[in-house]
Amino acid sequence: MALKIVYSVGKGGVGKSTCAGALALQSARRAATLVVSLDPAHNLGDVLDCALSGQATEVADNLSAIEVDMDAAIARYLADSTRKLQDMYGYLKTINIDGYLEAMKLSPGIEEYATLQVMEELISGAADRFQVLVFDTPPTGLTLRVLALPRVSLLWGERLAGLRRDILDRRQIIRNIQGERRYVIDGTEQALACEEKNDGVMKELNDYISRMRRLTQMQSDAAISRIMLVMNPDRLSLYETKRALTTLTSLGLAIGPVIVNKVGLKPGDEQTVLDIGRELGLPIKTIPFLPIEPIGVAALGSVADMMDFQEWIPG
Amino acid sequence: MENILALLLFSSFLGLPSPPSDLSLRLMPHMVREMHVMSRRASDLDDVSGEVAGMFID
Repeated sequence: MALKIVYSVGKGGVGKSTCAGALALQSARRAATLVVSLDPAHNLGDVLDCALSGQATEVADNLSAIEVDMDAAIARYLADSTRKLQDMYGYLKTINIDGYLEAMKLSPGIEEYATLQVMEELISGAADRFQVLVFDTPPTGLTLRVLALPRVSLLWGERLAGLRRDILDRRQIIRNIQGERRYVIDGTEQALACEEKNDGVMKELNDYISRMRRLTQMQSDAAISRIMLVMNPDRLSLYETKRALTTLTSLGLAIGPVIVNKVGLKPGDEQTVLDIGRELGLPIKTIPFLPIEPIGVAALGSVADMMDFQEWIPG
Repeated sequence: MENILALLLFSSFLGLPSPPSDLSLRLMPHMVREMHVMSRRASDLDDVSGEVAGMFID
C-alpha cells in the first residue's frame, strides 16, 4: 500500500497539532501511522503528553511520533550542501569560499529548502514502515512557501537545463573544429565537458529535475496527499485560511473538508461557521470548544471519535 | 556607478532573476572552472562591478 500523506495546515494556535494528533490516532486504528511535527515551536509532544525527539517514538498502538529539531535540520542541510563546495573550492585561493558560505546561511529560502529536505527524507524513510504520514506543519506562511518550492524549483531546473544543453551543443561544435579543449586550474588539467553524460552540471540538473518532479507529482496526486485545513470561528482565522486556500489550490493540492475548531466558545459561533462555509465554498466539519483541554492519547482519542478523520486521509 | 547600483537592485526586471539558493549550492561544485574564470575577470575589471564581485574574492 502506497504511503498517504496528510498536511495539517492553519494559523498558529488554532489547534493544528491537536487535529494532527487526533487524525493520527484514528488512522492508527487501521494502518501504521507516523505523525511528525515540523513546527519550530513544537507542541505535538504536549498534545500527546509524551516526550518526543527526532527519532520515531511509539506513542500508541500502531502510532509513532517525531518532533524534528528544525534548527539542527537547517544546520545539517547547510553542512551537507556546503561540504562538496569546501572540497571543490577549498584549495582555490582566489575565492573566499568561507565568505560565500556565511552569506548563504542568511540567504532567503534556505529555511524553506531545509524544511523541504526534511520532509523528503521523512517521506522516503516512512514509506517502508508506515502507511500514513501526518505532518503537523509550521506556521502557514512558511508551509505555503515550502509546498510551493518543488514547482518553482522544477521550472528553474528545466530552464537552466535547456540553457546548459545549448552551451554543450556549442562546445561540441567548437570541439569538432578545434579538437578537445582542456583547461588548467591551480595546476590541474581537465577536459572541457561537451556531452550531457560527461557534464557534472547536467547530471546535477537532471537529478534535481527528477527530484522536484517526483515531489510535485506526489503533492498533486489526490490519492497520495491531502491538506487538512484547521481554523477557528473568527474573522482573522478566516482571512488567513482564505489566503492559504488560494495558494494551495493554485499548487494543485487536494484539500479536505475544513475543520473549524473550538466552536461554541463565543456566542454566534454557529452562524460564523455557516458564513465560513459559504465564503470558502468547502464542506465544514466542526469540533466544539472543550472545557477540558484534550491532552494525552486517551483525550485525543475522544476528539478523534467525535469526527470521521478518515475523510482527510487521501485515496 | 548609478547604472551599477540600478543593475544590482533591479536586475530581475531585466531578465536576470536569481535561481533558488539550493540549486546554486548544488551546481557550484560542478562549476569550478566557471567560478575561476568569473573571479579572474571580476578582479581584472578594475571598476565598481569588479569590486562588487570581489565581495567573495580575496
